[in-house]
Amino acid sequence: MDSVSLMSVQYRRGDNHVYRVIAGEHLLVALHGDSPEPLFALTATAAVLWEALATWTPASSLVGALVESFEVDPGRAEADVADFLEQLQSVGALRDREGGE
Amino acid sequence: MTVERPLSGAGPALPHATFRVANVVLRYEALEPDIRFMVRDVIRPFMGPETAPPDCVLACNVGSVTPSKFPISFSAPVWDLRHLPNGAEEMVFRSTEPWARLRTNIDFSQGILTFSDVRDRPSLIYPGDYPIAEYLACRLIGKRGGLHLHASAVTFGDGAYVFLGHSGAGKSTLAHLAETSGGKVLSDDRTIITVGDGGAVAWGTPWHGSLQRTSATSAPIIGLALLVQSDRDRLSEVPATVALKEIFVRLIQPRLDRGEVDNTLGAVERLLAAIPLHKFEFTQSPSAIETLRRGWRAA
Repeated sequence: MDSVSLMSVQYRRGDNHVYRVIAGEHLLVALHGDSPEPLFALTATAAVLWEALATWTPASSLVGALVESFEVDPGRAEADVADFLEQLQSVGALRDREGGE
Repeated sequence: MTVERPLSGAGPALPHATFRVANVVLRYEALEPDIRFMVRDVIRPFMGPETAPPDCVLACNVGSVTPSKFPISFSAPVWDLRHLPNGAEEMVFRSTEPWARLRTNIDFSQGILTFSDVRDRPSLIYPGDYPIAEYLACRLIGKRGGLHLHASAVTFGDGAYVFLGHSGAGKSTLAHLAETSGGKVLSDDRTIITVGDGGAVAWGTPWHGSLQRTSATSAPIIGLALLVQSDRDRLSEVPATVALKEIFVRLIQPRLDRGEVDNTLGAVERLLAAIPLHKFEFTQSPSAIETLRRGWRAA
């Protein structure tokens, strides 16, 4: 996922996963049995991004959320966001659209 | 459940039937006059009482089980699920060809269960049979926030011990060891767990493993163990973060509905708050049961 697509696309979490915090673990559970991975444990960073993805959001806002929440530098935050979005896409947990709609 | 000729050892044909597993009640009623229900020996302890308020009333008939035209929402090896425009669900069970179709309303309080009409009439239907009854129980348990697990369970005078494990982990073996040590087996393969204000309760099911032990009774859980075959007997607590994943991967309930999955996760959370999961390394010898009970008394 390159920086151009990061800036021009909006993202939203898909409808095929259930998120719940149990025993301090941020769990993401895939609906339907054919998912390649039925259960994920999100890091605290990823959990912030998952919450932010409740609505259509550009990657820049996700980067901003990480910078604000964890006081990381923007370059590191942008790389983390790109990694996380790629992981979500690989398990079918992410929707995207061209920005500005 | 299947439709077939009578089995020897089964009871008399009935005009209707009530099947109960854990706190779920399925009521089977005939849609046609020549439909009759026959109860297998293994299911009989789970029948009735007729006055039990049903969670799901199944109107049963025999006929075409052709799926509807709507797209498949999800396929498993032996069934296809379709969501109908009115919110109802259609599940078609198949081997090489479809052999049964179950249509349920949104809350699963009612269903129409149709079996393929390839067999001779009069038609006999066996309530409680795998996989249809177990599927319905799973969905209804999920809606209530219970758990249906790959687990055996045994009771002693002090309560129930539940042993989690995939196939080959030793669920039946440990159930047999417990039985020879004076325990009573609730299930040697599939156990239902409910968690209420009074604590966690294990319920037997009729869907057994290689030991072929079932029970329609329940008991408060005092021990919850993940089985690991070993050359020693040892009990050790599993961290909650690991425990919830170990429990999750042993759930039988299908992950088809968002609310049910959320309820199920809530039940896992309540269970672990009530009963911590332990890893039980065991030797397949009678000493394992003594180690288990002594270990839990110490805990």
